[in-house]
Amino acid sequence: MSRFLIPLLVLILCAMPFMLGRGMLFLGTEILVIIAMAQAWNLLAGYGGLLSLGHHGFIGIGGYALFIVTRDTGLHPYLAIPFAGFVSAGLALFLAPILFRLRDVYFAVGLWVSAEILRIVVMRVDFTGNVNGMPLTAARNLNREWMGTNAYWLALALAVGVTFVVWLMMRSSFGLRLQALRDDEVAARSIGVAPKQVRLIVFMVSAGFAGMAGAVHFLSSLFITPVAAFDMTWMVTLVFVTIIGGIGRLHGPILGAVLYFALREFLGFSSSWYLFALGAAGVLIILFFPRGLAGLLDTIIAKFTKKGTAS
Amino acid sequence: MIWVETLLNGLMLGGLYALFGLGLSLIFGVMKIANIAHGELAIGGAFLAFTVVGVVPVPLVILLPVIAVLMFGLGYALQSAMINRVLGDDPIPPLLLTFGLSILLQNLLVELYGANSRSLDPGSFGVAGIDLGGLSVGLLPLMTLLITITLFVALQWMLSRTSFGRTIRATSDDPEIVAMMGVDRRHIFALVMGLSALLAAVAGMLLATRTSITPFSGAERLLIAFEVIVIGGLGSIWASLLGGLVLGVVHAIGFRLDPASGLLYGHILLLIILLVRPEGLAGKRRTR
Amino acid sequence: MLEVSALDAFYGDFHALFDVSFALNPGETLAVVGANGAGKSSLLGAICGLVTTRGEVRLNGKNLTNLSTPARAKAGIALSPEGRRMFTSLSVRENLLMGARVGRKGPWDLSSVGALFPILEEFADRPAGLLSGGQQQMVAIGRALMANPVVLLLDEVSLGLAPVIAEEVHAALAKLRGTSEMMTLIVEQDVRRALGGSDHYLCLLEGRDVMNGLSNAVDFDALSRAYFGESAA
Repeated sequence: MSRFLIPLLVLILCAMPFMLGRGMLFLGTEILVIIAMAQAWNLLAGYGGLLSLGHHGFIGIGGYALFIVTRDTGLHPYLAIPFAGFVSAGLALFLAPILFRLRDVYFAVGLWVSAEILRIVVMRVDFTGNVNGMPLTAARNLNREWMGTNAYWLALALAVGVTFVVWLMMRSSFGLRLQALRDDEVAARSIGVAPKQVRLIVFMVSAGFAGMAGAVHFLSSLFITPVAAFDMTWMVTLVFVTIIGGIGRLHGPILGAVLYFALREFLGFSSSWYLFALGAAGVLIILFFPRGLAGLLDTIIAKFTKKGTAS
Repeated sequence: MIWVETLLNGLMLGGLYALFGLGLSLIFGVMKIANIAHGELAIGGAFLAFTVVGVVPVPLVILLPVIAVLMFGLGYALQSAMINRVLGDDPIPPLLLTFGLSILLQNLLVELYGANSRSLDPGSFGVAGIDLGGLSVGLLPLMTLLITITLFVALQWMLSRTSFGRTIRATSDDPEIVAMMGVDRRHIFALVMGLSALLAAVAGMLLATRTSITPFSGAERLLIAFEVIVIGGLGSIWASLLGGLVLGVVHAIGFRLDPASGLLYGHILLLIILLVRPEGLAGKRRTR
Repeated sequence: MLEVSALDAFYGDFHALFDVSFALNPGETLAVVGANGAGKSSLLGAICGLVTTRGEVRLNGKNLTNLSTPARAKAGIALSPEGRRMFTSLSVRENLLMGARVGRKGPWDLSSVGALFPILEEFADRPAGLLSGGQQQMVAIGRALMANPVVLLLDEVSLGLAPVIAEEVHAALAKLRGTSEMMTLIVEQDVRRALGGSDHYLCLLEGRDVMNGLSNAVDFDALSRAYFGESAA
């Protein structure tokens, strides 16, 4: 069934720009960007067991990479998106020798500190427009009429692409090795899994996708500042969207993101009450439904089909 | 002379940092988890103090212990009602749970108190200083350092000399076998979290006497506390003191050379330590 | 009196012990023998409440089945665990004092444990993690005795010890026998030694009681067959 359903869904999502107003389209772009980012984080944390609290560093660097390369080389902004991914993946490659000595909380906070260093440096360097940030100078080459629509399509392509890549990776022997490593490192080593190599790949892929998603986000907003680029709120959103949806599940980030934005639009809380509610929801889910919405859905499906859990 | 003063300021600042690190090091040592909400507990203690002072203007000497005891209760409650439920072989759930608590507490503070910065009025000695052979040293930072050292000595005494301290160390060594000694480890964990929250809150209040804070200051405090235990190393409370002092001096020197640096040099020091000496300056070998 | 009836033990999904029953009178010692993985440690763990169980454990008529491990310890169950499980950062004295933490009154204190194992008195201030295996075993037994237990559970007493040290430990255990109301369960690799130091024996195979009886009336050939799981023909 899902063989037809998923392409149909993607097709409908593709057609959205012709049905939605400007505001809704912008919201759609935001949701899709968050899905892509949450998939990237979930790949590392949920499947790889490497919890990051510093993905906002990769997001920010991806955004800046796009702004700088289009400013200095005249590269078309849309083509600069993969470049942004490479820059973020390269940053991961650079950080890996330091952070891979660490586990668990050390790794998580070590990455957070790295993101902080990036934020402070970017704020102080004129090359990146220092604390004032910079506009997307290449925006003058873009078609104003289609800019919003194109950003939406880019975000859609990215969200679908990242989800597809994660799906492919987890079906491959690489995915098995990664999850074996997460569940029991000693046992995984004994069957010949090379921990460093596997983790480095997943770290770089996750960072690269986060960077591309950051690039798409700031491309759609046409302006970047250090405060917005390296905002911890990115991290908070990614973590809780994934937890609420179901960590370590492919549809977790998607379910979580949809619920997250639905609540945000309907409740219309102030941003701090909203974040408060998000934190509280995260705490409750970890305590009472550690498998998130995806797990809940499994239980419901299992009840109806009486055949055990799906997927 | 200016460098001697910088060094001295750094050491006094470092004493406070050490206090932030101490609570985090304690729970890490006993439970092998970190509390991402550590900074919010520290800042939350200071905000609680603002509220109390707003109602009844009590002097700092009374305020400090009262808030400390309240925060001990909060720490105990958080551990026994929530964190104990997710402790297990997987370190990720407690990490995510405390991350959730940190976001929740931070934004609760924003809603209750607004995002404006505040500070605790330390009274008359806030501006007083003493002259040490041409060096002027503020009375307030000196007091802070004194309180910090007192707390370190008291904690060391408790851990090494009392039956409760022995039980804490035994629980840290082997949390399963202590059960055969009639010890409920969840209770010990909750007491340790209470202690950690108490230390954090005292540090938070002392911080608020020397600088103004906002509800967003918690994250910064967590990073400092974390850096203290990485730089110093785990395994003894003196390692936290050393880590705090080193970080304080680095921040003071960094600030002298480059006033806009903020926490940058501390962050860089962290990465250098991780690269060249991951067990910390005074730490024992880590098991993981 | 210790009464164990229809006891099962589980580690997660793994069923480690099946339907084990026995009773022990005050002052008696039970030797639990069996090959590696036969369920000996699971039996001790089940009595302590360290593993999930089904069945019943009664001590002097009191049902312990639904009590937590700390509560069982307070009721008088003490364990010298497999692998000794020292509190490595505590000194020898502090390890022993941890054993006394359950707060039960009785003959055992630092001085009587010191009289049983003189080396512990000498090394009282050393970190337990730095002791030799044999010395750690003595600390583990001493720590369990400090609880003044009604039931003393001794797991793998001489595993990994040099023969002369194992001899020393068993000599000390022999002094304990018959001197008090304390009941003892001993798990020991060396079957002859285990039987020599006990009143009853219980042989486990793949988690099941395959043979039991009085230690001084054992048929070694039959026991050997039961131990290795060869049918008694």
